Amino acid sequence: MDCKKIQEIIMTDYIDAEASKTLREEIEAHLKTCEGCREFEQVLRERVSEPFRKSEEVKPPEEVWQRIKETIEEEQAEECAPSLLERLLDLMRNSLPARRPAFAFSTAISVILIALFFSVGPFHKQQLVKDYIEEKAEFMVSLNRPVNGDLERDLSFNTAIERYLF
Amino acid sequence: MLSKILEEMEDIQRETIEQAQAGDIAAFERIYRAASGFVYSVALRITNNRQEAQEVAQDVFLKIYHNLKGFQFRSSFKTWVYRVTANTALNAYKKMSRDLNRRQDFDSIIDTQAVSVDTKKEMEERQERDEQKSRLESLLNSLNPDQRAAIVLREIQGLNYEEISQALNININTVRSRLKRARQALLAASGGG
Repeated sequence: MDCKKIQEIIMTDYIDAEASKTLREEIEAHLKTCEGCREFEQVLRERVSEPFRKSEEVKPPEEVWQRIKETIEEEQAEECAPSLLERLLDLMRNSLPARRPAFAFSTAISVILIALFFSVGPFHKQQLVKDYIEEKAEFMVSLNRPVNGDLERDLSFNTAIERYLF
Repeated sequence: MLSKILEEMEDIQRETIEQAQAGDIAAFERIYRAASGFVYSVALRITNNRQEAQEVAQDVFLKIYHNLKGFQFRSSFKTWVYRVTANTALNAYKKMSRDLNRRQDFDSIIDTQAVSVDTKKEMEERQERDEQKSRLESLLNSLNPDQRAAIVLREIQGLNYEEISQALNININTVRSRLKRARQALLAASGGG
């Protein structure tokens, strides 16, 4: 390997301890014989690596955790507390107001339909038949009724039509 | 050798993660205590702004909290934290890059005001730290955002190539080439290239 290639490896894998054992030994052997590459390695360590490695370790101020904790607690409160309230609000906001007109409308329709059913439906026809039969029966009874007879006797004819009607 | 920050990350137990997944805020706080050094440190070095780094840290932990239930231990937890942190910090840096200089000026004013109440010894120590910080910032400013993220994860946090590739979602050869270009830029910026 020439010096350019050696210096590239020094600048990366060698200085970062990523080189294999074989490669490391090859570089070290070269450094023993090449003053230029030795100087390059020394300059690199002094000017590029050391300033960073001397830098002090830092910790964030306590207020950072306090802000994180407050945010989490606020989020948890938003997630938990409104669940009951939210349901109630949903019920009031979404169910009632939205369904109130619908409920009123459906009730009105139901009342109209029931009224129509009883006025023009089969019940109405049954009532007409019943009224008609009663009217006719009263008429027939009135034909046989003696002028001064009592009701008991009036009912004593015991005819088939009488048994049916009375 | 692992940095202290990475050692703390290694200490996060599966049981603690499972408790946090179940909504245990105390368990989540233990995760925060163990990982916040890494998260804040990466955010600070990438954004180069304390206020922004605090917001990134807050954002990262809220993302972790919100997605914790979906974490199924198929990959390591710390790798996931690396990825969320790197992505969030890089996005924040790219977003704020337009007004970065103005914010740095603001930070410098705050630091200068703080010096005035220190003792002489504290002032000397602070001056040394400031020089170191300033040198670091100057070096980082010579890098583009992708190189910056790679160098921060490698040089400051001590992640290996595999971990960097997972954190930045790139292959190992890309990690290698980004680090090479970053170091070439750093050598040039420090007058050695």
